[in-house]
Amino acid sequence: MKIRLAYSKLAEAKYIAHLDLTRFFERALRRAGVEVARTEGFHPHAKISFGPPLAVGVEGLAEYVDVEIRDGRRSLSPAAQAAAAERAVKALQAEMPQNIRILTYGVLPPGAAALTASIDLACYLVWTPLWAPVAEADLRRGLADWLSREEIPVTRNKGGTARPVTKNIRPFVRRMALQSIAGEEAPDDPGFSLELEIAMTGAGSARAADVTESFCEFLALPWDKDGVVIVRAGLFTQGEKRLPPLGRIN
Amino acid sequence: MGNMTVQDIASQQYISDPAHLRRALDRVLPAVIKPGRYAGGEWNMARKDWEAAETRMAFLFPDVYEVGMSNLALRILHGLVNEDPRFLCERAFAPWPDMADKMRSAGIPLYALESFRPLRAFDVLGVTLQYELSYTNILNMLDLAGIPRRAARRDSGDEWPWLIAGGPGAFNPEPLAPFFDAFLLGDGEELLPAVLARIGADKKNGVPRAETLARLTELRGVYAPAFYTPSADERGVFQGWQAAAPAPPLVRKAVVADFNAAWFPARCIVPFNETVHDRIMLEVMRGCTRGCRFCQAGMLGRPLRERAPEVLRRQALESVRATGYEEISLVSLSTGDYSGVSHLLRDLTADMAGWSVNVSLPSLRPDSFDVELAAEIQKTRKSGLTFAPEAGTQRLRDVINKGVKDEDLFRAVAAAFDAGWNNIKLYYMIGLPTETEADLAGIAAQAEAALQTGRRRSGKARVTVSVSNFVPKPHTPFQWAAQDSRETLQAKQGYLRDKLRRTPIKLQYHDADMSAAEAILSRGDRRTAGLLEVLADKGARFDSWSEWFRPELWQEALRATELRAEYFTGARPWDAALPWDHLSAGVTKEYLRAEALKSERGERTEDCRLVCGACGACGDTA
Repeated sequence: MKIRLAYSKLAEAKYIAHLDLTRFFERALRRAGVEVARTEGFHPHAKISFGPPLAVGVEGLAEYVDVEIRDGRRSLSPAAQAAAAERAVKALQAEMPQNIRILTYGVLPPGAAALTASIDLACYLVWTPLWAPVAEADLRRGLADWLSREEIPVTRNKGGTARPVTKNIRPFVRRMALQSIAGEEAPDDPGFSLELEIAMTGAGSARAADVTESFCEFLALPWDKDGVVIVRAGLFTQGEKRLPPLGRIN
Repeated sequence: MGNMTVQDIASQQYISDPAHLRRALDRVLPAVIKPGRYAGGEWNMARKDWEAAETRMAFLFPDVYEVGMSNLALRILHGLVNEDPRFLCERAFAPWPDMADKMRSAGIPLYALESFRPLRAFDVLGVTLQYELSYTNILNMLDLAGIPRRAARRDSGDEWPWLIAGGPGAFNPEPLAPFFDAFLLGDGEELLPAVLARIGADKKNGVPRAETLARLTELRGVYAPAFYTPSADERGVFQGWQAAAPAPPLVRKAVVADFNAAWFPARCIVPFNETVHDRIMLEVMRGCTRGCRFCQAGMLGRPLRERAPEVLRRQALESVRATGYEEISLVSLSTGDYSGVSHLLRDLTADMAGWSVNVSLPSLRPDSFDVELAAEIQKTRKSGLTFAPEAGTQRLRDVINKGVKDEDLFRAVAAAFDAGWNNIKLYYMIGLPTETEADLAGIAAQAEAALQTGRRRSGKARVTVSVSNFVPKPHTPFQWAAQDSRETLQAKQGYLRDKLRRTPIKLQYHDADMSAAEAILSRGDRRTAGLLEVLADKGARFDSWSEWFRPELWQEALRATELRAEYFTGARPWDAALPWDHLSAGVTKEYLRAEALKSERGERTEDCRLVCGACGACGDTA
C-alpha cells in the first residue's frame, strides 16, 4: 500500500539537505514500527520517494513524500487500508521532530503517477529586506517591466572548472506579484515580499533565489542579499486546477 | 587573539541572546557547507529548562560535527548528564573553517546547538580529548566563544565557565594544562556527575572558585594542574612533580565498578547529516587483555570488563526503538575477543528480524575470526572486512606483542573470502621499534599472499593495505621509544609503494608530518602549551585533516617557542622523569618497563585472561 504524506519542514529543519531526508524518514518509520517495502537485490533500499527537492535554507509549508508500506496481505478492503494507513501515520507523527510535522495523508490508488511526474508548479513567498526604503510605485513599475521581458538571463557559476551556464528563467515564472512592502515582524524595516509561481517542467525550472536576485538587480535595488527569506508555500499540479495532490491543506 | 587581555575579550561585541543569535545564523547558514552541522534540532535532542538546572554544561568536541557525533564518549556522557534532573548538557563542535570565518565576521560567538546560547553562558565546558591533533581546535573554539584561553585569566568570580576535559588525552594533558581547570581521568559515568554536582552546589553556596577546585581534587580521577609544579634541574630538564595539598601526589583514574549497570545511551541523538559512525554503538567490552605494546587505549582501558549478552540484547532493542537506526555495531577495542561473540551475533540477528537492521563488527583480530563468526556476520552485512596484523613479520609482531601468526591471518582471510567477502583491508603500522627492511618486505609479502588466497576463490577478490605511522604514547611499554623521523617514514612509505606498484593491491598511508606533530603533543610537557598558543595564533586548525594541516606552521611555532621536535620524538632514558608520572592509569610503570625490556628481547606476553601479567590495573579498581 502506498501512502502519500504532506509535511512541513520549518525553522532549523530547513537546513536538512534533501539527500538526507530518505534516511530521516526511514528511521522515523522504523521507530514508529511501520514496515516499509524494500527493493529486491543485493542492496535493498526502502521504497520512499519525494517530490521536487527543496533548496537548503528554504522552509517548506507543504512538501510531499510517497511511502510504500508492507501490509502483509495484498487484498485489504478499502476500509481496512484506510485504517492501516491511519495507524501508520499516527505512529509516524509521534516519531517526528518538532520542526517536521505531517499535515495530511492519503492512500494512493494503484497506478497513481509519481510525485515528480505530477507536480509541475511551485509557489513561493519571498521577503527581501532593503537597506533603504523604495517607493511602492517604483517597485510595481519595475515588476511590470520585468514581467514584460521575454528574456531574463541568469548566469550560474557551477564552481570548479565547469563553465558558467546562462539560461533564460523568464518562461518558468508563471506569476510574480508584489504582496506587501513591509515585514510583519519589523514594520519599520524596509523591504518587500513577492509571491512567485514557478513552473517545473521537463525542460527545467527556475530557483526562487535566482528570480529574486534577477529582479533586485534588474531594478538596481539596495537589497540585503543575506537577509532574504524564502518559503515554499505549496506544490501543485496545474492540470488539476492548481490543487495539490491531496486536495487543499487546512 | 593570544595577546588580548581579559578586558579586551569581555568587551567584544558578541551576540548573547539566543533569538538574536538564530536570526544572525539565518544570514550565514544558507551559504556554508553542510549547514545542518550548526542547526541542532535532531531526533532525541533534549530540551531542558535552563532555569531549573543547577549546573549547566556544554560538551565540546574539538572536531567537526560528523566526527563528534560519532563519538561514544559524547553519547554516553551528554546523555547521562541530561538524564539527571540537577543538570543540563548541550553540545558544541568545532565549526568548519568556512563557518568559523563567517561567525567571526558576523560577531556570532560559538554557541551550543540545543539552546543557541553562547558558551560563555554555561557553568562548565567539558572537552573530550580523543586525539592530539584536535588540540589547536580547542583553542580556536575558546577564541570563537570569547573565552580567555588560560585558566589563570578566568579565575575571578563566576564570570567564566569551568573548563574540564576527559578522554585518553587526559592521561598526558600537560600540553593543555594551563588552559584547563581540571582533567578527569578514566571512566566518566560516575566521576562527571560528581564534579558537576560539586560545582553546582558550590556556586549556589557562593564558595570561592579556588576552594571548589581544591575540593574537586579529593574526588578520585580529578587532576587539577594548578596544584602541580614541575621541578627542573639547573639545565631546565624536567625532574618530576611537586603536588600541593590537598591534591594527591599520584592521581588515580576513575573506574566504573559495575559495567553492566553503567549508563547506556539507548536514546542517543540521531543526526540528520550523515556522520562517520552513523549507527547504534553497543559497547560490548571496555579494556583489552591482549597487551599490544604500542596500544594506549588497551592500557588505559584496563581492567577488562565485558557486558553481559542479555544486557546487550536489551540495549540493542531499546536503541532501535528509540533511534530507528538501521545498523548496530558491536564496539570495543577487540570485539572478536568478546566471550561468545558468535552467539551474541546470532541472537542479535534473530532479535532484529523484521526490523531491517544490520549487525556489524569493526576491525577484527585475525586470530579471533573463524568460519563460524564469518557466517554470522555475513548474514546481515556484505561490506568490506578489516583485519589488523599490525606488522609484516612474526619477529616484529612478537616485539609489539601482537600475538597474531601468519597462518591465523591466512585462515581468517580464507574464511572471509569463502563466506562471500570480496574486499579485505589489512592494517599495519610502520616505524615500530626495531623495524628493518625485512619487516616492510613482510607487509608486502603478506598482503600479496592474502590476495592470492582470495583470487583462488574469486576473481573479484581485492586487498587494501592501510599503513599508519607509529607514534609513541604515554602509559604504554613504548612510552620511552623513539619515533622515526619524517624522512625515514617517507622512505619506508616509498619502499612499500615500490613493492606494491606492480600488484593490484591498493596502498593507503598517513602523512609523516602529521605523525611528527602528533608525537610532539603525545609526549609533550607543559612547555608545549605555548606551542599550541602560537599555532592557534598563526591560524592552525583541523590539524588532523590533511586538507587543513600546515606543517610550515608547526615549524614556525617550534622556532618561536625554541622547542626542538627531536626532544619530543626521540627516545627517553629509562630513568628520566616523565611529564605524566603523576597520573596513573592503574598499570604500573614497573610493568611497562618490564614489557619494554621483553620487547627488546623479542619475547611475547600472554593474553592476561590466560596468564596474569600483574600490570596493576585489576588491583586498582577498589
